[in-house]
Amino acid sequence: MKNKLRSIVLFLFFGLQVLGIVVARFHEYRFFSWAPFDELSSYEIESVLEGEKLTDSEIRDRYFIPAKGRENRSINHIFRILKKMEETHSKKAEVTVRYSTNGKDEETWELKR
Amino acid sequence: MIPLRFASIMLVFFLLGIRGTKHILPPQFPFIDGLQALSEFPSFFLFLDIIYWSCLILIIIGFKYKYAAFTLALMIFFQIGANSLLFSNSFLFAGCLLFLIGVYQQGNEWTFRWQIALLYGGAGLNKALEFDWWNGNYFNAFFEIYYPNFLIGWVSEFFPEGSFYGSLGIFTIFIELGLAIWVIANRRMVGFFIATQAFHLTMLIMTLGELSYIFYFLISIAAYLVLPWNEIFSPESKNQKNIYHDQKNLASRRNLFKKEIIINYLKNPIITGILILIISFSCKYNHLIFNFLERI
Repeated sequence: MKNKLRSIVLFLFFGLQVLGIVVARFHEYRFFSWAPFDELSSYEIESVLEGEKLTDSEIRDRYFIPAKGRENRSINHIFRILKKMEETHSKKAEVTVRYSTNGKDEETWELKR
Repeated sequence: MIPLRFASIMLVFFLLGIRGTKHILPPQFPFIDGLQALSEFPSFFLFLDIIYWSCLILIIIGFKYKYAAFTLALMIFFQIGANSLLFSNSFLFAGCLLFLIGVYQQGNEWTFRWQIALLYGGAGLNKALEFDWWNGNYFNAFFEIYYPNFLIGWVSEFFPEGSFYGSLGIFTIFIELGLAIWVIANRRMVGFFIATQAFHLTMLIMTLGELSYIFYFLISIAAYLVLPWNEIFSPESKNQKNIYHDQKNLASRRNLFKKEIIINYLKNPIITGILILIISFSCKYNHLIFNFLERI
């Protein structure tokens, strides 16, 4: 019985990892898919709250990530944090991210309301 | 027979010395939304801290270390699930290794090989399906923008113009997928250990210690676990010296001598562990080393 339980646990353990790798193919995020350093993105966050542009330290306090930085898995992880964080605040900011992935041309992402 | 206690102690070094994980933190941006409610109970996290440190100490002193490893793994999975800001592939891989140490029973050596295969296979597959890894864009950005260094400039001169970064990307993809297949095949696992060391040390040298000493550390532990321990400690291995002296053919004697050196090195986890720690911590604090060398 103990061996059977161990086998089931191991099957689920590895099965979830395989599922993570497969799901990542159809998803913008790169969590649980064993994709370290898959792409390199540098980003800069601009956040305007009630008409006032937030400073770098205010952005860090609000979103718990640096205002300027690098993301080594997927830039969508940064977008996810910004979306989720804005959901928790009663006063919504206008958020824009300028980013470049793998050295390509700069792109802009805006948090849609 | 496999050095589970060595691996678990090294993973404690990883958690404390490399990652600096001293506490189990309350939920923030959890992957499972329901876990956010736990942040209302700070004493729960104090309790988790006590369990965390107890597990670390149990592993170090070697008392019920498998149970401690299993518990630590669950705490790591919980920490990642409860706090997506703390997600990292290395943290997750460390948790997976601890989990497998915890559930290990004799005959289940294949679990560590499968774990390594999933890591390399997943990484290789993800890269293989990203065009920037084939056309050189990734490494061009990596070495021209994020981690420029003189060594890469020198090496790239040996390649036709415009081909170096693309070649590097393709090379990485095939190496990772190849290592995944190799470890599953379970052949020449001493060679596999050497190949992983060569791959990750080459990356470390090419990036002057930036990328990725953390995965070098973790893969070294994992690859050490999948060595053919039954063969290494077999009676035939103990009689290796006699076979060596009996061999008349010079080439065979040289091969046996090299194999003996490698086996003797690998048999001693303390030497292996110290070397891994020296390399990893040298990379972690490479800026201090470079500053010191500049002063000299």
